[in-house]
Amino acid sequence: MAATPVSSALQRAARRLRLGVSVGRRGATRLLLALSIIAVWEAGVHAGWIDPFFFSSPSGIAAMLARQFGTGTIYKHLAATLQEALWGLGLGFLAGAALAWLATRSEVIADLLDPVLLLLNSVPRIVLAPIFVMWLGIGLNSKIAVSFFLVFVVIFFAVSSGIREVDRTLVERIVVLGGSSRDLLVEVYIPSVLSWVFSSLRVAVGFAFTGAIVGEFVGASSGLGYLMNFAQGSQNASLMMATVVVIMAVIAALFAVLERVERRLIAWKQP
Amino acid sequence: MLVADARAGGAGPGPALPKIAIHDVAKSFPTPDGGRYQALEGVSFDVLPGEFVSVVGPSGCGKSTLLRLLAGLAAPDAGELLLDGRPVRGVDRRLGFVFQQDALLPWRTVYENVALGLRMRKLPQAEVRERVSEWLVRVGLRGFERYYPARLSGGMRKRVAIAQTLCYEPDVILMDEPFAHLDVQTRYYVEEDLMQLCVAGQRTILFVTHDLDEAIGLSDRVIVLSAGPSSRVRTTQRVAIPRPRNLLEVRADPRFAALSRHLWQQLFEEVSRTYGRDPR
Repeated sequence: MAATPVSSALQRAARRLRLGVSVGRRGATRLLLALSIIAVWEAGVHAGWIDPFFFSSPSGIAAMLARQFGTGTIYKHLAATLQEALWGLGLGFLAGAALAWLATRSEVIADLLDPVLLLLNSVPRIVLAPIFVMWLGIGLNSKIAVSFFLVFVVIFFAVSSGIREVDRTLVERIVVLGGSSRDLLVEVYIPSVLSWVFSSLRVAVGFAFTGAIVGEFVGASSGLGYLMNFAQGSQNASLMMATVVVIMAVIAALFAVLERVERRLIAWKQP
Repeated sequence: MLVADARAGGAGPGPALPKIAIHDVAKSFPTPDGGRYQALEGVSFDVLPGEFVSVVGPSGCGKSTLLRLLAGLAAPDAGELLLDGRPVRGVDRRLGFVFQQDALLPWRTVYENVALGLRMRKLPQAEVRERVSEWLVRVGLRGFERYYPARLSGGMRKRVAIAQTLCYEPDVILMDEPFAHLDVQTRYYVEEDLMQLCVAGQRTILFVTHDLDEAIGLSDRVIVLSAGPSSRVRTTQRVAIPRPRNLLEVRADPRFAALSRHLWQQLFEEVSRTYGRDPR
């Protein structure tokens, strides 16, 4: 029919439009829900149903955030935690990738590493936090170590699966085209590993912060985990909640960056 | 013998020196139950420079294995494979291989995939661009340069794979059922191109296919392999239809019909043996 292309184009446009509306509506619903929870919380505190000593209040948290950022005291703690988590993430990434690569190159190394890593993967590695604090003291190093151990195992498994699961026909294709081992690395192995690494990078980022903050719980003189511990000790619910808000904001911001990078790097997956 | 002459090779290559010589080749594979499957045994034939030879045979007869051995992707258990009189040791850069699967890099665009072989040969950028565009036009994919393979249809991916191999103009082209997934029109154009390449230059083509009519239409010779296990050459038949051929008209040629009938008979016997052995 002559009208078909036109009507299908219209339909497409309508669908796109409705998609836009529905996303907008969903976003609005979420915002509404969040705002009503905050409103009920605030009203509950004022009405005397909710004890602000334990639960603080949205206005109390906001005031605390304003004070923390206003006086600048939070920056020291934020910087400490960010340093620990990012060092742990970076070093864990490098070590995990390097060991995974070695393990796929040498049978001996693989035989040595596999049981250790399987063990490390099956226990909650966070229990190592007190040991590292005991060994390395209450400074940044012990937290970097905890963070490193959490991240390193995840990256090790991601990279070794990436190397092992590489598509054999693609390897043969490059070989037959006359590719060198460098071509194989650049054209096949790295892209294949990257797509595996990206699928576990979010977990790794989460782990990096978990390691840093739990390390700070155990023993520290600065950092967001230290601040929460301090808030707990001084029964300061507003400070506790404000710190949680800061931690969530930092991780959400990192995830947003990751998503953008990921979308660029694996554009080829979109059909 | 041709093979012996080729290896002695003192006086330089004469016109009769085979481009590809396969001599008494055997290859077996381990089976899941611990035994071995003898895919090829005692396979011998030559392909002359510029010749287009097709290999047909029932499925499982080791046609693809033969190509993999020639490409240096696997080694034979016994026998010899020679390219230009020299034994095949690993992958040879003068060789092009069109796989049964399209095997494109999913993270590279159509353009980048086609350019791969040229880039690995360190051709100048301008020439790479020129040849890739030329081949994308030939396989009907102009305008798809920036697409990733995930966005293409199966037939389009196949055409990219063909362009990828043919654009670096290898001396010897091995093709493993390359046109099985192409629509009839595209298939016709790519087949015509392939024949022109073969007639115009020094391209030597060894072509594996299920399609007997395709084999006869394109080839100078058709080789029928016997059913596996232990496949060997059952018949070699010269296609005495002069070139240039028109792929549409060649089928009306009485010689085509006679040859087709003859080869079908041979192939049919082998296929029946396959099913007789393994009535699934």
